[in-house]
Amino acid sequence: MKKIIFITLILCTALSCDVLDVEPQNSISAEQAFNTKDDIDKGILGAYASFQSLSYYGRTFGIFSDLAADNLSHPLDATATAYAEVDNNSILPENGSVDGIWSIAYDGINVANNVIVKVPTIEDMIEEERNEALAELYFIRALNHFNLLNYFGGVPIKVAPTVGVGNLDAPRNTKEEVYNQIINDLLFSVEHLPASGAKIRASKAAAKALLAKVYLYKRDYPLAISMASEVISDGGYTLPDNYRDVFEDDESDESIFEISFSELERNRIAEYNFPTSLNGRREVEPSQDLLDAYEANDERFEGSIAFEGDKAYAIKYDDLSLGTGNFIVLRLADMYLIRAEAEASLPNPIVSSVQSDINEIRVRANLQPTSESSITQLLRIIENERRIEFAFEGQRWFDLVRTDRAIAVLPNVNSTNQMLFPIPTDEIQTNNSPGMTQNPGY
Amino acid sequence: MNKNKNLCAFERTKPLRYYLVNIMRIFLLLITIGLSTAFANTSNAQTKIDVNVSNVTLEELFKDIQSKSEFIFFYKDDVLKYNVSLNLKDATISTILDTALAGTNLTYKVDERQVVIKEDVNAKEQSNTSKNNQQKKTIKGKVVDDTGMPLVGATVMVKGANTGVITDFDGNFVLSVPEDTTTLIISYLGYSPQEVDITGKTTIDVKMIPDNATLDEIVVIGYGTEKKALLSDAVTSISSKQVKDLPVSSVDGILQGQAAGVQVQQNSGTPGGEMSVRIRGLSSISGSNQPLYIIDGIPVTTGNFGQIGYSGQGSSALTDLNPSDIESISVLKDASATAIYGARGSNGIVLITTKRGKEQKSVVNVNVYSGVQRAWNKLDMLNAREWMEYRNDLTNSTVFTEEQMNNITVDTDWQDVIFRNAQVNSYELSTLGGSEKTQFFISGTFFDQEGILIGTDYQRINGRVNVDHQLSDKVKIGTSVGLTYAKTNRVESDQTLHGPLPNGISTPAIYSVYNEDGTYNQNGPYSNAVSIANEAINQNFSYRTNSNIYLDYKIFDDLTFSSKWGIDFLNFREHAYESTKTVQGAKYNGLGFETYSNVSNIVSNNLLKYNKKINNHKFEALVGYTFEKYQYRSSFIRGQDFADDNLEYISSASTIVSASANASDAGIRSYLGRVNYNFDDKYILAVSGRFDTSTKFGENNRTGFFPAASVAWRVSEESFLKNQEFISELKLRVSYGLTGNDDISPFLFSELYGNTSYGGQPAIYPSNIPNPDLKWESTSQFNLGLNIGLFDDRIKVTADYYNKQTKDLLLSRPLPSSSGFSSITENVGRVENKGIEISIATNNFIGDNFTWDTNFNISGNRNKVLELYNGQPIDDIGRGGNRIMEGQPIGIFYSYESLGVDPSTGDIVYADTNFDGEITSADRTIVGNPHPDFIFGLTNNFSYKGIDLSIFLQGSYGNDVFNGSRLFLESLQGGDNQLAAITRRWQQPGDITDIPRATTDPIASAQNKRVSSRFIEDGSYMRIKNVTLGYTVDKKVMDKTMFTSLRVYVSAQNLFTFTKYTGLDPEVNYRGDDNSVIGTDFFTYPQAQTITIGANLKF
Repeated sequence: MKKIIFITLILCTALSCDVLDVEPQNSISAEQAFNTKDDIDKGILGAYASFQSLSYYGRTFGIFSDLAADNLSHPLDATATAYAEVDNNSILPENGSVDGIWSIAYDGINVANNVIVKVPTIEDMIEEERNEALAELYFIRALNHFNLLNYFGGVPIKVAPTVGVGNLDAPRNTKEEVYNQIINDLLFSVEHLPASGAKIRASKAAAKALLAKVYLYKRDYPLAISMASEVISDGGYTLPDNYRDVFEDDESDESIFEISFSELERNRIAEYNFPTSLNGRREVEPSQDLLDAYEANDERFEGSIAFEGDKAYAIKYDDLSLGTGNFIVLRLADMYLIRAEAEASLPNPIVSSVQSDINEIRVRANLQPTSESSITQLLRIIENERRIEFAFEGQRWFDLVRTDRAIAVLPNVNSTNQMLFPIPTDEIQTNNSPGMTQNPGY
Repeated sequence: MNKNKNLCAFERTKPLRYYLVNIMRIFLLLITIGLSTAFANTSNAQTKIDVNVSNVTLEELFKDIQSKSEFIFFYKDDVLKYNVSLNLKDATISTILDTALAGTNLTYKVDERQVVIKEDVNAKEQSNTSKNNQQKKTIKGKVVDDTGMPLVGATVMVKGANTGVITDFDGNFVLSVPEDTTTLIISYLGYSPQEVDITGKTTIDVKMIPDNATLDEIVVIGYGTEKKALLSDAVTSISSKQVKDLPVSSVDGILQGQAAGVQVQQNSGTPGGEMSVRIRGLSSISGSNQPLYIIDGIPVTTGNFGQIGYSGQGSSALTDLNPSDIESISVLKDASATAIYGARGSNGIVLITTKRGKEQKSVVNVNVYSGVQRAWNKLDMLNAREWMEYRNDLTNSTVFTEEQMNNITVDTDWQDVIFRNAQVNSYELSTLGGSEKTQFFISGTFFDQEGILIGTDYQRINGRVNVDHQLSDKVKIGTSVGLTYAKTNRVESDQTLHGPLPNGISTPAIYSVYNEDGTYNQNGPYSNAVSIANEAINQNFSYRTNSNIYLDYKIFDDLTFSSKWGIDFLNFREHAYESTKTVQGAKYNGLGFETYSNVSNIVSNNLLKYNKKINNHKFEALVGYTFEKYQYRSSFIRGQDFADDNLEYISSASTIVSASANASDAGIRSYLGRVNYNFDDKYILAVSGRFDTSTKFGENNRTGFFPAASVAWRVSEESFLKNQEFISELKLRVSYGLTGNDDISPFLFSELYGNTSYGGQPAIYPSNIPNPDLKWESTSQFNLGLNIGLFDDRIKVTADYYNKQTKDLLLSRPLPSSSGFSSITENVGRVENKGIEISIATNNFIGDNFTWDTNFNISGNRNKVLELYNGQPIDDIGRGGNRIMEGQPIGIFYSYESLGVDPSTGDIVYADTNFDGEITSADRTIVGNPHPDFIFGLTNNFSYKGIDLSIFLQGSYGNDVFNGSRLFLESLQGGDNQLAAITRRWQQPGDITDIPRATTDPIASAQNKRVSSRFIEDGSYMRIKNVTLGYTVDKKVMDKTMFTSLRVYVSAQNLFTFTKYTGLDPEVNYRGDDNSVIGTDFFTYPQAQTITIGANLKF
């Protein structure tokens, strides 16, 4: 009998030693995370990964810009209340989808900042490699800040990673300050990013293209022109003859920067656009106003819209089943129209330059070139071309807001207050900085 | 103790009842001792004792022996007229007694520790015969239990004399009694003693009636057992008899309404679905509030291991256990009872003991029942014509012409389509028995339940083998093996719009189920409910064992070592396939899932128990060392583009869209101890403590200590209360102690990076903010309790007041999302639960043929959040606007207050609570409380001859429910079908109604359907939860068959529900175990009304 007891005691001691010796199995500890150049690259990809979220380029971010404006509307029979609010331009601060955009953009910033502070500690990287890594991370940070700025106005600038729970109460910065941060980040990116590479990652041209757009939004027209010109002249990008080809395959000739989607990281844009008879949810549909805005023979109509019975639906991102199509953030057509608009906004614009850039776009769309010479009219033409050219690509709302045209164009927008989305309730309640204020009217 | 009159076994001067009570007490005491020494069958007779006395009374000698050994002496005072002198060394008890009793007319019997001294019957009989020449007669008989099974070891005594025998293996006895004896007294533990008139009889058959009061006397507590009377903690014990006919599939279902202070809510009517069990309120906000379940000493893995989202219809690992294998359930409530489980004790403990073999003739039990279930309630929805009228009104146009409305061909009642009459069947075969050395219990059960909602069913096969074996005098070994296979057919959940229930209810009556060509009509606003139920495969399978082996080793008489090793192993598999005939499946050309979850928990309990009794002082000490190793492994595959609808496994999918495998480990190592002291069974003290070291917490706070103490005073044992008939039991209890809750995800304390991918490359990102100081929630609980028994325990009242203060909450505190994180788990905040629990058990009528007893319990808990991080409320949780804020109960409903419909505009007017002229989120206010004021259960049991009737009521009062289904069904917007209530909607100025207008104005309609008090309803209810009528076939009839007993019964579950709630069922909790969104109904699967007939057969 003593033997049994003895064996039991042995078992007890032998087996119990390791019950407390437990390692996480699905994640890696901070010490193991960043040691080599490869680790930094994984970190950079982690920062890109937040762009794939459903709240971001995976669905909501792009759709909302067209929905808040007049390109998309929320059908009567659709069910997503958050979408109805955006369509009606009467958004509640507790709107979950708006909160999603806010949160995911800051998530991306934080992931980028996290890697940024690790870069200088990696021993197997030379100075040039470090700058290249930082340039890519700054680009990601800049794009996130820029997207936040466009929906919410002056937002808190975040340039350090969140470590611990101290100092999380961040005040809002002014629009000017946010612009400056974005521009500084992008100037570094332009200097240090490699000239080319896969389009799902930032390149020198991508940084220039984004910078051109930022300058345009900031109304810094000469700089916008020079950046757009650099991309147009030495970026190696061309406009495919057929408009539809831009969206048919990933990384087309025109694309400058796009967000990768695959079977594993799917975009769900088609799901919300497609009619139920094609197994979609149809939370949004092209507005009648948009359908009417296309000129006859515009190739872009068939490249952007299809019909199921009498129901129109957007087809730029049409992979409902797999959700693999990459989302194009920056493309060459945008550069032409940025340069045209910036030129037209100069005190003494060269009309022919404006016309020529607009016509690059119109001719490709199988339309007659414009010969309009009135600058005011040209600006209207640019606005309309942008609407058609970038329909369902998440640009329309920003275009109308930055040009102060939203009230004039959109029936539901009657006050400048509506031109900014509300800061999400959760942020207002948890961020105790006196400088964290709600946008007016919410 | 031998001087203690009431424990002195053979006291002739006292009345008979008193004498019997004493026998019972001795039995109980012996059982307690027997259990605490782990069934030792060692030969005490071999114990060596030194005795050196000179001219002392026998009584003094016995005292002396008692103090040196574990022997207990029973004798009559008046036989102790002898004086003895002895000087013996290393003598056995028989040597001592042989010597001491030589020359007296006394004889002795040693039975384990019990030494009975009595007059030598032969000697006395001889003297009697010579003196009185009295005649003797022989009485034969058989003692059986209420079901006709022989009772082994029942005591048969001659009334007024100390002559008696014990029944043999077949319940038979033969007793020689004086000719003039008229009455025998038969007693057996757990049964009411009986007096039987034997005048003119030579054989008698005695059927014993169970005495529930006595049955409950031994209560299972943490790592041991205790006599109920000597318990100083708040423990509710439920015996299998109490719940035997309930057709419930799981243990948590049994608890509902049976124990004061235990709130059980069926989250959904899904067969095999999980329930939420709350013992004494919610003490945690972010951690779990489910109690820790322990089966035969081994903690059970509970929870939902499904990886495919069926939220709200979670599977429950607890359902794998077969309720009919349960012998008893103890619910440990106060800190003194639970602190021995340390860091996992603060939500209370449910101890489940399974049936075990006994030393008796083997018995085979067959229990079968079969029944039918249906939905007890349906919603009153618009019919086709009403829908058309509503659509015309909504759009202010002629969507449907008058002609169309007069020629309606399709008017589908979708609730009739999705609900059905469903069967439930259970077949159970078990056998129980054993010899002196080996005892066994073996059972097998097949349980088969269809759901009342199409597409749902549940099947389970259980097997159990419990064996105990006496290996030697000192060593006992045994095992409990429980095996389960369960298969559940599910449908997508209550809450998602892909489920048959929400789809069915939300689809307007104008849509037919099928198109003319026989295909599913998918023109409705969502998916066709029938297509989801029929064409989607959603199965899960549970393969489970919960088993243990043990060894008890009696080192010395007082000291026992026990080691028990258990494993709880669960393999949970999900298999799902949506064919192209469903909307979801068509989207992906067939969508399939295959998941595996492999959960194992290895437990080792090693205990050393010591008992000592010195005169009136009784000590019991326990020290233990336990550890647990938990491992979780899982895999998940999602595939689409299937070759054919008939090929439902992933290998036929041409695209694998997601494949992953996960792992997580945890461990806990503990040292525990308890000391019980009791003086004269009058003053009782228990002190316990446990050190827990858990891998859930960081190095800074890995180990915690959880102490508790309780005292009890049995006032009824005091002399001033002894000699009266009114109060039979009066006990005051006080306890205080500390327990913990560690139920959070592992590694929250450490800085970790998670994996993802981008562009086909691996990527990493920071997944949490580390918190190295993380530790458990700690709950300190004060308990004041009272047990009263009146009129010989005919009325028994248990009352408890408790005050639970939980601090260092494991709070998932929201962070500004501008930080890049949404929350961090920190130890912040405090929650309070205070409450009163009262249980009353009465034997209203006890007659030869008719008995009536009542069990009633009622309890009220008051929950309050005392402190949160920086006073910040956690806002707008769930669909119903639950909120967690200081000074209010957890999950209070906080939203806009609807003042009703403005007769002039038809729009809802909201209260402008801050009087700033506009309705903003600042105007939200408290509009409801999801916590009940009190909950109650009431059981009445009647029996008349062979007929038994039990009526069980259960309910909840004062809780509010957010009827989230109405958010859609009274939305007056979108394509959802609407409740018939909207026919009274506002239609023109001057209409006074509670339903706003139907309008396409996007702003007005959005405002009208805001989450507000408009959707808050009174969720109070009272249910006639169960009525059972049974008939036990007369023994005389059974004797002619090969069976020993047969009982047939008919039982109705959820017979009536009284409630003002307008939804399908007032018992709701749409997000299952989430504490913060309690009381929200969102298309919750309602409970079934069930009628069953069943039979219990023994042979």
